[in-house]
Amino acid sequence: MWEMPQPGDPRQPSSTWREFWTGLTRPSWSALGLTLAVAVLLFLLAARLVTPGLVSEAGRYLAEDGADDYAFATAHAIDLAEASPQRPTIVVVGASCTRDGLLREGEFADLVGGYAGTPVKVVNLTTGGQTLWESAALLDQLAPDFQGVVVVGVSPVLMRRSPAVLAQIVAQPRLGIVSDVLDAEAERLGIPVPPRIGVYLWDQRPFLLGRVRALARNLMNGPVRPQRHQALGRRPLDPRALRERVTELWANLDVTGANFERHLATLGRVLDSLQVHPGVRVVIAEAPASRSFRAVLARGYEEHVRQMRAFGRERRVPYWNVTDAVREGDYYDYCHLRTSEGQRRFTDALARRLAPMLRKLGS
Amino acid sequence: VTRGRWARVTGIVLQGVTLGVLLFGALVMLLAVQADARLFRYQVF
Repeated sequence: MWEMPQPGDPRQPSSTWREFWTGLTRPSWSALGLTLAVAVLLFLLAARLVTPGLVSEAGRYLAEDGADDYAFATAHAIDLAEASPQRPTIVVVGASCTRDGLLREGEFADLVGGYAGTPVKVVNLTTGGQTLWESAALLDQLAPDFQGVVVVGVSPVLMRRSPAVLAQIVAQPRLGIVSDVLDAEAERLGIPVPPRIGVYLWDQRPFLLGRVRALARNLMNGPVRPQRHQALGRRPLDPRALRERVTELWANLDVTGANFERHLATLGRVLDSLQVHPGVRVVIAEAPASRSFRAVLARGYEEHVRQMRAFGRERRVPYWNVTDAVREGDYYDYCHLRTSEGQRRFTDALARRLAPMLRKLGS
Repeated sequence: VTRGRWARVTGIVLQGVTLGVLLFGALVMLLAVQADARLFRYQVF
């Protein structure tokens, strides 16, 4: 280690250097004050620079990997909040069952655009394990003059999540967006919401800090490419393993109805909040569900569909269940599709129904 | 004397800025590791 030459040393530096060295190495109140001031200043600078706009631009650098839907959905949702798309847009929210049923955004847009005879844009905000509360938070970002169709993807699983999941989401948000709708849902269920101060960096610190390491890695390796369809190309799950998985999944859900009723009420409030956008039409779309899944749920599935259909009628919102468009061999497990042909069948069935709505919006 | 004083002030400023940047970096990394451990992981399925 380098040492300061001592007095008498032939290499003795000038008094100017000695003074500089003393200032540099000796602890002092001035240096301590400056240290703290610089650290605080850097935090303030970061709070000013880290904005939703920056996160929207850097979404692909914040993703942990290609399957990190939540980073991509955050960036897309901020885009929707900041500027309305120029053409009629289809926004899809929902969980992985819906995500894996749909073709890529461009292909989906081409299909609908072809049937509607007008160019459309598709923004897919579906994420693995997305809850209806997170769907509500994403839709809360739509700009007031947004024009298009919102497709709310639902499933028997999504509509029966426990409020404990919401408590976890409020404590450790997976999406980097603040939503009054989400906060209100939490408060309604008695879940304490952390105080919001209106500074993005502070309000979203769990989301942002949890991705610092991914950011550092991606800045060196380049942005992450989304790889949304994780089940594509896989071999179907062994029927026995599938049956066990579905039975376990269903056993962990509240099928008696309390959670379902709560979700219907939330969905109703989502529909109410979307009414402020005059150019928005809403559709509730059932996610694909394999025959084996429906067989295990038996009356549970039929009851779910019946109740969803009744809800749609009551709220005058279309409820579509096009799961029959998908063949059994297209499924990897109970709802995730493993073939692009299956995705095309499911997307096409939705596209045909969406086209007239978009035609009306475009005229 | 003036040159010596300026040299000492420069040294103090350099010390303060360096330690300030290091303190900021260390705090961010500490919070990042904590947040990463608590992160509610996304689900692939």
